[in-house]
Amino acid sequence: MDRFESAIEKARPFDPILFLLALAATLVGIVAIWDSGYARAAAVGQVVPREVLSQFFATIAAVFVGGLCWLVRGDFWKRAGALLFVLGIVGLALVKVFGKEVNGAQRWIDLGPFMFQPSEFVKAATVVYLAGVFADRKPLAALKRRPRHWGEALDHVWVPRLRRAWPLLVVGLAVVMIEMEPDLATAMVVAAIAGVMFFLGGVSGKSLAMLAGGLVVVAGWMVVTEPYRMERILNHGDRWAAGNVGSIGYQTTQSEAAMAQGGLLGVGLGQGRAKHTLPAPTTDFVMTTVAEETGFLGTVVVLGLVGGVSWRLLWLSRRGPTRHSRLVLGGAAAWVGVQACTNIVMGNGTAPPIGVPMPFVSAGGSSLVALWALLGICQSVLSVKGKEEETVEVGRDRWRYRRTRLSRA
Amino acid sequence: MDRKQEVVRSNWVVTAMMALFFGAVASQANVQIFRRQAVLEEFKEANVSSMTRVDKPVRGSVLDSQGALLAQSTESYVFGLDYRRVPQSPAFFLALAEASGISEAELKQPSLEGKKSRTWSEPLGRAAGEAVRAVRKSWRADGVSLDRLESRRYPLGADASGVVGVLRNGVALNGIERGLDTGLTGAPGHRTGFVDRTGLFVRTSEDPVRQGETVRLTLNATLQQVASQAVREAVTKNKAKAGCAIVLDPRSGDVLALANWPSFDPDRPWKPGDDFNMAVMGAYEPGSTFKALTLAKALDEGVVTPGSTVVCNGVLKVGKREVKCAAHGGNRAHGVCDNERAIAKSCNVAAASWALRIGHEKMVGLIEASRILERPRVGLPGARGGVFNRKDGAPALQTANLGFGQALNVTPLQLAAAFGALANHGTMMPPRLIDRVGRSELPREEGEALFSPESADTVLRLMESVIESDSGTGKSSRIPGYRLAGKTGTAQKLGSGGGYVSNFVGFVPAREPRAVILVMIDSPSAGAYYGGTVAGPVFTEIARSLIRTYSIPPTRPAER
Repeated sequence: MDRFESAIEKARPFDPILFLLALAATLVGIVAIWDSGYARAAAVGQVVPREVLSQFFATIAAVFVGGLCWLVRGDFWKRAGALLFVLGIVGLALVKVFGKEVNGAQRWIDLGPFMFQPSEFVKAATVVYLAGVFADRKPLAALKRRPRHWGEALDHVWVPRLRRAWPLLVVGLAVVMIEMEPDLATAMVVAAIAGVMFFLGGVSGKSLAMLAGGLVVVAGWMVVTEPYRMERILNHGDRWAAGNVGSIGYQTTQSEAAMAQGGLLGVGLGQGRAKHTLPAPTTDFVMTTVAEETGFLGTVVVLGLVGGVSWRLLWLSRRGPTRHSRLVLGGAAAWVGVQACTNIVMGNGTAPPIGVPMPFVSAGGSSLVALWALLGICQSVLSVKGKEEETVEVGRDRWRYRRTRLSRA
Repeated sequence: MDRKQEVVRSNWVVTAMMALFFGAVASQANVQIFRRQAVLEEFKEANVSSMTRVDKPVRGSVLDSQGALLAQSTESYVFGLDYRRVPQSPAFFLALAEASGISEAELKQPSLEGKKSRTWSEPLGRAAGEAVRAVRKSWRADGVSLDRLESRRYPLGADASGVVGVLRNGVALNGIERGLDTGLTGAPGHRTGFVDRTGLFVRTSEDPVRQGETVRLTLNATLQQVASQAVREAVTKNKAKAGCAIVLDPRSGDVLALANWPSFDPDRPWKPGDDFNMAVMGAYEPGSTFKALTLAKALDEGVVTPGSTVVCNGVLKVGKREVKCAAHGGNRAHGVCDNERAIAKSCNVAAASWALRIGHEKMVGLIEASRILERPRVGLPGARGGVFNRKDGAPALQTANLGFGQALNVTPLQLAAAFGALANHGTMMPPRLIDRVGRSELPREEGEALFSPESADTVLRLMESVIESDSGTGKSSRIPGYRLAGKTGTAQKLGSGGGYVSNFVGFVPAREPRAVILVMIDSPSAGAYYGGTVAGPVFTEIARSLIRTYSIPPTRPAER
């Protein structure tokens, strides 16, 4: 407790640009949710859609949680990564047991006033956990001599190597658990985040190639065992066909047409029609209404805000004081960036509908809280005084960074 | 992994992220800008959920000049419930009961009996229909059905069906209904939209419904009824083929009543021909009533003076042919006739000689100017014009015949308007039946000065003797206390069928007439055929009603 208080006393360094970009994206999200949700709300006689209220309270909670994470000392997160990930796995297990089933999928834990989606927190935990793993990882020492027999090879080559692959197994478990909910999209996002972390963490090219090969095999197995996945991908190309447009291609074609309707400048706020026809106008397809009503320009502005968060995270990542901080920020940037771009290409029909929400913008309290918590962690780890010397240009003449330096001094 | 390697990998990630965002923006631009038309085209072709709803307009009402209804459409709704698709909530049935006026128990009963749906035979009124629609919307109860029903009511029934017309199965058959069908119908509205995921219709564009316009006629419903019943009585009593009565305001040309018999009940089956309205669709010889116009023209031209006389010995030789007076009581000759006597006695010889003095050209000029040969243009379909041979081989005989209303066929409505000139100081006002369509008033046409005011007033004064003198042909049409003017006519029909057309034209009151009334009874076959006997009673009946309707004061004794 005294540690906590001392942390508050000692005001943390803080990157305001990251905070403001994320805040702007979140607030734009509330407007977009209101806009895309009012149609359904009006149909039942409400002025303010239910999603807007919950998103508003989630924003307050998210910023609060983010602030707490920021106040915690940065080096704590390096040690806490594994614990967080274990909590995430426990959450996924709880979903499997107590999860509330919605539309045939078990993704949420009903906590009465709100629903809790552990898989969103697993995304943040994956980043923090893998950053902690790779922060202190040294290359495997070269063998002084060739192993004389298979026992020696097992002891000195294969066991150490497999031990180093432990994080892959753990993350793989989480991915499989999420995929079994089923929530293929979130599982893929977690896998992508993990992949970026492996890459940034220095996993050798050979290992990464093996991993990629393994993924291809798994993907092939998944397609073979559940052919509907393949069908879905094939049908995506044929979504405008008469048999598909009203059923399997419905969401995508509605969204695509609405976006096309919006054109460059949009049809005007509140004028859109996609929100009346889409099944998930405030979550996965929130950008459809944005694109329809504010056009390509508005879409680029909103994507720019979310992408701006990703850019700022990467920018800070390259200037992070410690390897751990660089890894955390890089992973966070990957999460926001991959998910935002996936959401965009899914909404405009370039990719099949895989149900990935737009970070910060789409309605969803768990996602928002997890994102803001990770942002808080990012701000926190940035304040850790690095032991290693900076080897790259960090632009110390920039005022923003100078402030950070000042407080550190 | 050293710092250098780390930066290299970081660069790769930055590059990959940039490519990702670039790809996302490019794909977005592709859909929203470059492939926009193609996508919209494809969406249009696929036509997933867009649909158009048509809002039917309510047909406009037809009113008389006082605002009384002559035709009115009422909307009603056939109400039904499909119990499988309505909320099973007591509150819903309570709301529905309140809206529809059907008791809650009755609404639920079929469901309790295990029926899946029920339709109520008694349609709901407009207000109830709208209340039920609101309940359906707020409860999202798809199982509530409301089928629109439009019924048209004609309060005057057969008494006005020849003028107002009838709408049958959505088709306007005759009369104003058909003449102004477009305006009365209005235009349907189109709401284009789509069905959202809850099955509710969401509008995207709307071209609003244009409700049918209300038409206000110049008719007076009371007079119309009285005139119609009087004509009906006369036709029945005299076993005539048909009959009509036209009441016009000579000062404006407004048609106050346009009655005909036979007519038909708007609610009964109908066969072609029933809609024949002789007032505008028939052409008849005006007969002796026309003499009044001849005399006015003669006075106007100065060929006859108020004091001049004609000696009638019953026959006038015109060329090789003769013009004869009717053989009243075996003696055709009327002797020395001044103008009053010639009119009162309806002397053909006098009228023929007036016409001959006016001359052929000017007599033709009169019938052209008075527009009696023209097709009535009052908005009634099927109207026909008169017949007159402009290239007759014997102009003198034609002129003589014209003098007493033969040698031409005219539609009764046009003739009535021409007589209006005598009551309006020589100026004829073209007949006018439609007063307003929607908000716009139909323009009044300019009057046509047929005679000088003096000539018209003189002739009108002379026509008083037809009714008020004891030797007049219309003396049976007197109304105590009121001085009336009129002229009888009995035209022999040409052609194989023979028979007569009995006419009466009258003015109520004689001084400054408020109305000119023309009655024509075609082919009475019960014995009597003189205009005074057959058509006169119809005039009297209408005149009485007119006096009551417009509270016309009795003629002052000094004026009698």
